[in-house]
Amino acid sequence: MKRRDFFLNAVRSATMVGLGGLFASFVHKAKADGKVWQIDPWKCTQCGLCATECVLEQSAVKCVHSFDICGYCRLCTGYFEPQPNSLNTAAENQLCPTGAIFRTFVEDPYYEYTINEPLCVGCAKCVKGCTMFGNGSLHLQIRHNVCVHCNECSIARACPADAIHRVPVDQPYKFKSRGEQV
Amino acid sequence: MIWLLAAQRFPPPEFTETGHKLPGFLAPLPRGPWMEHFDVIVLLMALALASWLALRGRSRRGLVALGTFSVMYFGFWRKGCICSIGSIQNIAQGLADSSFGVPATVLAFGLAPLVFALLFGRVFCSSVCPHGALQDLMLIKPVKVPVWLEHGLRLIPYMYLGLAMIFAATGGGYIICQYDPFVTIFRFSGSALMVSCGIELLVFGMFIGRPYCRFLCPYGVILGMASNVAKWRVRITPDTCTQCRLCEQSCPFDAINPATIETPSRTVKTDKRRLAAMILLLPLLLVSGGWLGGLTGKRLAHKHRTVSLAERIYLEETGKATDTTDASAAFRATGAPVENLYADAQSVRDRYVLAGRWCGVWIALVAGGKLISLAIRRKRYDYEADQTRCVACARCFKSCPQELQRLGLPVPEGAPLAPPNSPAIF
Amino acid sequence: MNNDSKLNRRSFLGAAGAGLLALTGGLAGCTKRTDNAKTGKSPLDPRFTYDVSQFAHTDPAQLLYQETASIPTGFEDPKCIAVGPNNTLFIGGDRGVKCFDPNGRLQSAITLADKPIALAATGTRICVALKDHLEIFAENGRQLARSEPLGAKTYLTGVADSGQAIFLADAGRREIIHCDANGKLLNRFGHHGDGNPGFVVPSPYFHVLLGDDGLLWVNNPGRHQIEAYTADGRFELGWGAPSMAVEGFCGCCNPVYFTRRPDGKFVTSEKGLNRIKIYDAKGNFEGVVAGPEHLVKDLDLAKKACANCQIGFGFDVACDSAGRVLALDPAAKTVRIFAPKIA
Repeated sequence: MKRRDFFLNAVRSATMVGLGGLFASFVHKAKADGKVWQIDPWKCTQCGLCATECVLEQSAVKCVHSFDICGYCRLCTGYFEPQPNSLNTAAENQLCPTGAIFRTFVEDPYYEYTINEPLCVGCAKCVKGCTMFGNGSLHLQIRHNVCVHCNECSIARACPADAIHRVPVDQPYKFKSRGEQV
Repeated sequence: MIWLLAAQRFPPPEFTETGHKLPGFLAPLPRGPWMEHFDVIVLLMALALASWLALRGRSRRGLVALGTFSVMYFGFWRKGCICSIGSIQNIAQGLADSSFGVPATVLAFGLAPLVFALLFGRVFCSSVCPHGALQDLMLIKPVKVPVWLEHGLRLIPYMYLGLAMIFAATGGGYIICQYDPFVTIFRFSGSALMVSCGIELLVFGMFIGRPYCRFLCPYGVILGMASNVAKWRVRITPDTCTQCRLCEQSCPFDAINPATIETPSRTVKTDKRRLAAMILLLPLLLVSGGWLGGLTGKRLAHKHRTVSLAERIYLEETGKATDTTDASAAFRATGAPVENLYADAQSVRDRYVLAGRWCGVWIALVAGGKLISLAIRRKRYDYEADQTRCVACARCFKSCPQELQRLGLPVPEGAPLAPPNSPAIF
Repeated sequence: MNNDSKLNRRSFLGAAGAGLLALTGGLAGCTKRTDNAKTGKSPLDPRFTYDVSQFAHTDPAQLLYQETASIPTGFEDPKCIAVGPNNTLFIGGDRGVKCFDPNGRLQSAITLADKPIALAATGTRICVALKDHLEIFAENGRQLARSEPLGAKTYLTGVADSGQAIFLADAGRREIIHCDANGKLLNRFGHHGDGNPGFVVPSPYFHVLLGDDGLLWVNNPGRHQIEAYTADGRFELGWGAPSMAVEGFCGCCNPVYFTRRPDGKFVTSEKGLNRIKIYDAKGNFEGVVAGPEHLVKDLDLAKKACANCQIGFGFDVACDSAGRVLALDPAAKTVRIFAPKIA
C-alpha cells in the first residue's frame, strides 16, 4: 500500500502543479477580466433572430436610440407603418407590434422617439425601417440588466452576421454614436 | 474602414425654440465584478463546507441543506451561469486559442472543484453543483439500473466530454451549455426542446438517481478521475468494515464496491488471458479510434459557422446556388475577400480533424481502459465507495451499524458491531 | 468491479452498444439542428418584420427610361456628379474631381485636399463644395478662387452657380448660403418663419439648383418637398408629398438628389427605396427612370459596399442635353446612363 500511496501522492501533486500553472498562465494574461455579450450594431442585419433566439422568454436584446444621430423626423420610418393613414400616434399607424416606441413633440417640425424597453421584444422591425430610410439611429443592444449572461449566448450562435461577441465588462455597450459615424 | 473614414458627423437638428437637450444613453450595467468575485467566494466556502460535511461531519442532513442552498443560489438566483461544468469549455478554448481570454471567475469555477476533488473526492457533486444537488433532492424512490446498462451508459459522459472539447477547442460553440437540461429550469425559460428534456430528466431522476451526473455530465468525468487520487475520501463506515452488507443497497448511484469473494482459479485464468489480449488490442484500438475521430471531426466541421458559410459562398460563387442566405449576404456586405474565407474555413477544418483525432484516441482509451479494468480483479476486503463514481451524497453512512453506534442511534438487531476476524486494512 | 464474471461480457456488450447508440444519436442530433439563419427566413410572425417589398416593383407602363451604358469612375468613394453645357461629365469623389468627355473618356483631374461633396459646372468653371468651404476651378483645373471656411456647424451638400452668384446648400445649419461670383459670403437664408417653411434636413442630402425660370430650386427632404426660392431668399412654391407609392417621395427624408432636364422637367432621386423619377415642371408625377429593382439588387450589400453610405444610400443624378439621366452609383462606383425609351 505504501507504493500505491506514493504513486497517488505523486499524481495528485503533479495535477495540482499543473492546475496552478494553468490558472497562473491564464490570469497572467490581461484578458482575464470579465466578459459580457454585445451586438455590433454596424454588423447587425436586422434579421429578427434576436427576438426569438434568446434563452429568456422576452429577449434581453432591446432597441436603443442614439439621439445624436437621429433626424427627429416628423415622419419616422422606424415609428410609422410604411404607408400610414396619418402622422399621429394612433395604433394602426404605428410600426412597432408591441407599441414600445413613444413619439413626443419637441418643436416644429421635430419629434423625439423613445423606447419603452419593457415592451420591446428586440424584433428589429423599427431598426430596419430606420436604417433603410433614415440615419439608423435606432439599433439593437443587449441590455445587461435583463441578460442572464449565458456562458455562450444563444443569439450569438444563431446570428447570421456574426455580430454578437464577448466584450470587456467595463465597456459593455456598443452604441452607435456621432464619433464613429462617417 | 468606418474608423479610417470617420469624419465629424453631420450635426443633429438644433432646437432653437425650446432649447431641448438630446437625452443621453441609458446603459444599465452588468453585475459588478465584485459580485463575480463574491460568487467565487461562495463557491469556495460551499466546497469547504461540503468537504467537511461529507468527510468529517458525516451529515447527510447538512449536505441536503447545502444542496438546497446551492440550487437556490447558483441555480435560481445566479441563473445557472457561469457553472463549473460549462467552464471547462472556456478553458479548452482558451488553451486552444491564445487570443481567447478566460476570465478569472470562469477559471476559478472550472478549477476549484477539481482541486477539491484531488483532495476530498467529488464533494462538489454532492451538494455544491446545482445540477447535482437538484437531482439529488428530487430522488425519491431509487430503482437499480441493470449492471450491464449502468456500465454502458457510464461511458457516455466520456464521449460527451470528448465531443464538447472538440467543439470548444475549435471555436465551434459550447454544446454542454447548448444542451444543458437544467439551466432552463433555473431560468424558467428556454427552447421547448431543452425545457422538456429538463423536466423529463427531473421526473426520470425521481427513480433513477442523478441521471445527468451518471450518464451525461462531462465534468463528472474529470472530477471522477481526480477523485481517484484523492488524499481523503468518503468512507462508508466510520470504523472498521464488518462486511455486514447492510450498506450494499443504500447507494442509489451504484457507487459501492462490495468486498471481493474468492474467485475460482479457472475464471482467474480466463481473465488473465483476456487481460493480455486487451492490452495487446489497445494500440490497435487507439489507432482506429484516432482515425475514426479524424473522420468524425471532418464531418463535425460542417457545423462550424465559418465552414458552413464558406460552403454556402462556394455554392453561390460556382453558380450552384442563385439566392443568398442571411449569413452569406451579411458576409458579402463586409466586403471581405472570398479567398480569406476559404482559407479560414480550411484552417478550421484542419483544427476539427486534429481535435477529432485526439477525441477518437481519448474515447478508444476509455473503452480500452474499461475493457482492461473488467479483466483486472483487485482484492477488496471491505465495502468501499467507488472513487470514480461516488458523489459523496452521504446516503450510505446511516446504513452502517458502526455509524449508528457512533451516533448513539438504535442498531438493527443482529447487526455485527465488533470487527470479525478478518484482515484489517489499517 | 463486478462480483460475477459472467457480467463482464454482458457489460462489455452493453457498454459498446449503448456507447455506439449514444455517439450516433449525438452526431445525428448535432447535424440535424437546422440553423434558422441558413433558411434565410425569420421565424417571427410577419407583423414583426419590416416589409416594403410591395413598393419595390415598378409598373412597366410607368418606366420611361432604360439603362444603356455605364462609365467606371475610378473612385473608391464617388460622391457627386455634374454635367456641363457641352455634356462634359464631372465626377467628384475621394479627394478629387475627374472630368470625362461625353463618351466616358477621362479628360483631366483635379486634386483636392478634402472630399468633394457637391459640384456645379457652368461650362466656364467648376464650383466644388467641400465640407465647410467652396473651391472654384477653371475647366483646365486651375484654381480660380477659394472661399473662407464657413463655420464649424456648416456642412455643405449642394452648390449652384449662375456665373454671377453662387448658392450653397448648408445641411449642417439648414440654410442656403448666397455668395458672390468669387465665393464671398453675402447672405444666409431659409430659416423657418416669415413665410418660409424652414428646411428639415435629417441627413446630409440637401441640394440647390438654379432654374432657367430664375428661381432657386431646393430639395427639402424632411418635408418631402422640392421648393423654389427667389435669389433674395423668399419662398415661392413647393411641391411633393410623402408616400411609399411611386407618385410620392418615400421614407422619412426624400428626395435626396434632384436635377432638371433641358425641357424643365424634374428628375428626383430617392434613398431607402432607391428610385429615380420624372416630374413635370409643376411637380406632377410623369414616370420612372429606374426603380429599386433596377438600381440596387440588395440594399444592405450596396450600403456596405459604399464606404460612406451608413446614412442613406442615394444616387446623385445629372442630365445631359439629350435628356439622358446620369446616375452615380456609389456601390458599383460607376456612372449609370439611362436613356429615354423610344416609343
